[in-house]
Amino acid sequence: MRAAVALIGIGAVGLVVEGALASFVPALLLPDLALSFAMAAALFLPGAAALFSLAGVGFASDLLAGAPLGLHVLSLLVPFAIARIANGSLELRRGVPEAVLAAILSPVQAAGFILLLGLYGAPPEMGFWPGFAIVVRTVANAALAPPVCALVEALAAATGELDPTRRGVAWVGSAAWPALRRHG
Amino acid sequence: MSELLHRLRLPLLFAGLGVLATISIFADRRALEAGGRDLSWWTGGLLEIARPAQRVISAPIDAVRGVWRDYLALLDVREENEALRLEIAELQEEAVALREALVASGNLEQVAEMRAQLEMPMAPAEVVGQDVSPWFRTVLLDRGRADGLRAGMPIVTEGGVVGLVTATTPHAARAMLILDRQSAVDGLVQRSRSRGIVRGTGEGGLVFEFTGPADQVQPGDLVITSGYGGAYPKGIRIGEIISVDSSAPDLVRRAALRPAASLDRLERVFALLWRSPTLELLAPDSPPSVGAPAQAQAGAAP
Repeated sequence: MRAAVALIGIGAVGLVVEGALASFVPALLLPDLALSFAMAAALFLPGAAALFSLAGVGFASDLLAGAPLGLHVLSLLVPFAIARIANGSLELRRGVPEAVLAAILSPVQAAGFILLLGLYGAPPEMGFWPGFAIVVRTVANAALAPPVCALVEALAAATGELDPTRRGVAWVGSAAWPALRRHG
Repeated sequence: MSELLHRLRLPLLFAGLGVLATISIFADRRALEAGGRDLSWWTGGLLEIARPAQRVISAPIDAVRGVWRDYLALLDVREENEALRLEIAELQEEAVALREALVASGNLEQVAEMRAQLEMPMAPAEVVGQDVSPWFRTVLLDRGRADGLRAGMPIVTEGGVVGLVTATTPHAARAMLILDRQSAVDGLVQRSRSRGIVRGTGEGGLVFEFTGPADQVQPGDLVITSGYGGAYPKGIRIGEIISVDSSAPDLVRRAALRPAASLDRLERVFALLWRSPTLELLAPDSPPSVGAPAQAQAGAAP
């Protein structure tokens, strides 16, 4: 869990710095740090520690963005699951695959976010601006993903918590089945 | 059984986190509907840290920007001076004419009374950070509960309405701008007295939604806070109508509004140390507001 705690600390510092920069740079040009950290945690940390990191960075992101507490966490769960499952069978721990994965997860998270905002009662009107924002942010997220992943990998290696790679796809049902069968 | 639980640990944690986040969202929503909330030490801790950190990070960039702005200002200060002198002379003539008209109509006393009602204590605050998400429009202020700020207090500049304090810590506050999609301010067209709701589009603009004939709202009309709705005092400028969508078949008509305050480059704002009686009733545990004017006012999250 040490890596997860350190990751939350680094993520929070990153979000604070990003918040200061947002006074001078348009928000849509800034990458979504929470997504990058959640994806990196899914790729490099053991399951529980990765989820803990997601929760910490997600809630910090909500607090600094003025979003309803829990919105970022909820929107990050699906990208997290995709990254986790994909990492089970694909070799994603390299710069280009990490960037590609971030580029895929970015619009997925944005779509989830828009859906949640709609359920929350403040749906954005879909048009040029939200679409443009999603495209620009996708590029920014893809660019940021490799350095964040390298950082998280170094952190996990330093604390001895690096998750073994390519575990093989383990669905909920398949994971539970052998144990259920043994118990009759 | 323990092996089964061990195998299902991650899916269970995943589902648990989802449920926790959902509950948290709804709790936050309820707090926002009640005018916001004062954050506890463990949730507000990050904002407390963020406030000085963001100020330190912003300082050098602000300094460079200030020098550049001052330099540009010096270049045309003479021309501007002349233009301002002319403008002052014109405004003085206009003021005299308006005073005469008010005296003639017997309204001067009422206007003075209204001004007295609107006068209330204010706390200046610096904007030290903005949210990094394109989906929300909020800012972080360097003043908090120690300076008298409470959730639900209006934020203004000399230009007009900026937004509403939604969360506070001892030394910092988070304010939702009127540009945010969750913002809804009860507004009034100053010329025609037509009422409506000013909503944020989330994209830097405002929309004025109103019912009734389209000609009651025209480009150039000034929209002010109406005094209804329970968040803002009456008579603060919200923005100017720039276009009216008269072709809309719906009962509710829409007009685009330009914010009166410069919301894209906010630096210094003022928090009105006042909360409407409605919000005081919704948050009975919080300290009483100061400087409460006789008339309660407009705007709240939907």
